[in-house]
Amino acid sequence: MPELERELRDLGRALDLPAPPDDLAARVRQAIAAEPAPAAAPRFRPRRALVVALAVLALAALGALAVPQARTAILEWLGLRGASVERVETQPDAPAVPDDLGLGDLVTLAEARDLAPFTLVEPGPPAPGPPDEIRFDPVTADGQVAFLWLDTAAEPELLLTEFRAPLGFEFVEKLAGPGTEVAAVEVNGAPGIWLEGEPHGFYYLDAAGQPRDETLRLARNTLLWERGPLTFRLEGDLTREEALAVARAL
Amino acid sequence: MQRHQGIAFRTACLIAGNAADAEDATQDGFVKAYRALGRFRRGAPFRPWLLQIVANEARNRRRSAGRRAALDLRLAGAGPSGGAAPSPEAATEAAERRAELLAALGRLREEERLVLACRFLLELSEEETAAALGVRRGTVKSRASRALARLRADLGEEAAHA
Repeated sequence: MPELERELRDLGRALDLPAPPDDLAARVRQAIAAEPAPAAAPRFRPRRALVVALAVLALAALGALAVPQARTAILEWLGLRGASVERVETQPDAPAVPDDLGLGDLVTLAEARDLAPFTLVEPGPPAPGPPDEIRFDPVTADGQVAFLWLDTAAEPELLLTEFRAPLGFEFVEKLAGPGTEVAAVEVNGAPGIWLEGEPHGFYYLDAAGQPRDETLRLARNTLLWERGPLTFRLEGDLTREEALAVARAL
Repeated sequence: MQRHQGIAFRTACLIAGNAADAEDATQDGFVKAYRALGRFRRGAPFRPWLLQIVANEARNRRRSAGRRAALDLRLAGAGPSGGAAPSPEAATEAAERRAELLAALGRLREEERLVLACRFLLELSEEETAAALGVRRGTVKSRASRALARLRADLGEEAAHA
């Protein structure tokens, strides 16, 4: 490189250029969430966590159009692990689900009430009677309570989980492949996401901003919604209307 | 992105002329890039594309504010370290030379200053510089060589290296 060019380059390295603000990624996240992506077309104005989830899903739905590297870079920077994108493009092999579904320890309803650091919302009709199992998982964020109903062959039939969206909870992302239908729904005025079809994983950012990879449970239709500080997830062989009925009755 | 945000922000700083507008431009540019990912051409290099979007935001801000780009470029307190420590005399001489260069850059026309700043201060490639400044690559080449010539003349190059 000629002398003057080299000197300019050295000058650039010696310059006290301003650094980008530390919270740039957070500001971009907020800006994205504040305005729904056109492709998501929600019928109501969901809160930002879910809006972002929908925007992310809309991106995922672009499939062949999308650019894995660029998108992965942006999602990674936004705090969503790049690996999640890869799995969207090649629908994942269902991970092995442990016998207890990885839902934590078997507890009684009273114990669950004591253990949960939030006010437990107990399912009633039209959920099918008292749950067969209640489990508490202290590992997930600040605790997750699972209500599980079994079928006549003692196989899991319906699963309702509740956890408190921790401080800083910003993203709920369902990974959906091309075979999964995704729809924005409303549960008693609060935003929700309905996923129907092929299996999907479940991701969210915990209080430390780390993406958490929830184990795939029943791998069936799923309704995900928020109420106050709680996030609910209902999985099972339900139609959208059936799931919404259970959710609205909670 | 972590890698890209620094260079995108500094490019925006040069173009917008101040850090506050550069912050807004970088933020809005990244949001637009995120939304536009579907239109990103497969296989194209990512950085020029991102820089183009961010630089465009920065340019719009400067235009609407009606300000000239006059970024207050400052030399860091200490020069780049590493390697053998130069003698105090050599260090002083190098610092003087940098200050001189900086002043000469400031006397260039804006489009010439920007092309040199992108190419050499920020060490962008020709392609990235073209994307950031919204001009063709050939324009980057010709403008840069013209700017370098003007800079040399201004500095009285022969005298400086006598």
